[in-house]
Amino acid sequence: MTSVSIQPKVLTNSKSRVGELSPALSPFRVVVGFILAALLWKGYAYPTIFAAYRNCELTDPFFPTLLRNTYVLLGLMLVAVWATLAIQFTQNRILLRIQTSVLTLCMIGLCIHQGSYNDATFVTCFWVSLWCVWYTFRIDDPVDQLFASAKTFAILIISMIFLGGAVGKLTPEYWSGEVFYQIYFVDRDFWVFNLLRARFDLETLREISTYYSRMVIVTELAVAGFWLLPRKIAAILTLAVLLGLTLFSNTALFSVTFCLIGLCLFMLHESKDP
Amino acid sequence: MLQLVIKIWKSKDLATLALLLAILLTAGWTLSLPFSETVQESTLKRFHLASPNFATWAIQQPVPSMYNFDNRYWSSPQYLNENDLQAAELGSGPIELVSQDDSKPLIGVETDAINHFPARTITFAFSRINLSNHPHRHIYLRSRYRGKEIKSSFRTTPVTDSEIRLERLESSID
Repeated sequence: MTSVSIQPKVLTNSKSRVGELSPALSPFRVVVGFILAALLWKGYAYPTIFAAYRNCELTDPFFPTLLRNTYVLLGLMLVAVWATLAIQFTQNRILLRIQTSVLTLCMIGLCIHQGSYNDATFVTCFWVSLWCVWYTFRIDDPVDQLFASAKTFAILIISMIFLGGAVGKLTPEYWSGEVFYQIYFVDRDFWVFNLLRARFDLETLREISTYYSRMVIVTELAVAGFWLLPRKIAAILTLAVLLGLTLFSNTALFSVTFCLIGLCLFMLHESKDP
Repeated sequence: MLQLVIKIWKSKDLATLALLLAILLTAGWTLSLPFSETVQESTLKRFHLASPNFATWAIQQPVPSMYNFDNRYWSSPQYLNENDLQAAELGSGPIELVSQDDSKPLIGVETDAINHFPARTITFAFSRINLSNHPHRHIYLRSRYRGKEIKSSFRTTPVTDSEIRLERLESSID
């Protein structure tokens, strides 16, 4: 009697191809999908933005000519979107490395272009893209080892981004609540602030803005220390903070937080290595 | 974190080392902000596009700085002195003010607080639409952090129907 052994589908079927069953690819693609969501979240505004740049060129020698050009900005956005889409269908590890590197270069370009440098979307997406480049270069590591390192880097990036937010607010104008009062409480058209303005007088609003501001600073400082927590707890708490921050202050912020939400979901992913 | 460092040490894994260094350097720069005048000045200048050169500004751009500093802008069709800026700050939104020096009305002065990168009131899309309608503007920016303050002034003038020139007039840190 002959025994027939059924070979499982190979994980790597050529030197450059990541096997279709590789458990490393799916959670990675989810993160990239969230970068795509971040890029598209404010897509409704892009036609107006590009039209404004085309109709009113701003000559400022501080920026190199290429980084003032509207079509360069458009190209960087389109190539970044293409890269995030292409990654969803690519199996070849060399192509994956090229695509993630191209995505990161686009993010660098968007961080320093005259028309987009001020948008924090591209800063968070840059760091998550850099994480993606690293991931594709380590994709052949044993899955458990890869996931462990990737989760550590994910929470380090999230903590560093929140640290950047918190430290810049460690100034009396934020601690008193004055800055948030001016930015959000005076006239921001958002359901939370509309509700507060309808219910409270100016003096009470100022008091609320002080507590609000201090709560934001303390929360951001706390998230900056989440790299010290077990990964799963850190991911759940960060998700709660990101969703709370976005839903209770400004849903446009999803363009900034989506890619970090992607990293949190990656941290919650359990390895099912066959 | 410790495991990651041990892994890098054992495997001489340069990709992992590079990413870890990038994160640690950025976090170190950020942590030094409250204590280092050099970092404060560099970051305040970054917010006003007033770094000594483009490369110095660009290399700081990946440093996360959402909702940093107390930032304000003023935009006016005419020159404003320090008293005018203060008077406008006490109002809010587009207002009609009277200059404290010569009692001339200051028409169409806009001022507001802004979360970060106040220079975007000149460079970003929605401001450009305003600029294309009113190309002759004087724009003033102020950012404050822990007692340090940067003030910058700019002027825009039309070159063609679809092009505006931006001039930096002054940028000073106290």
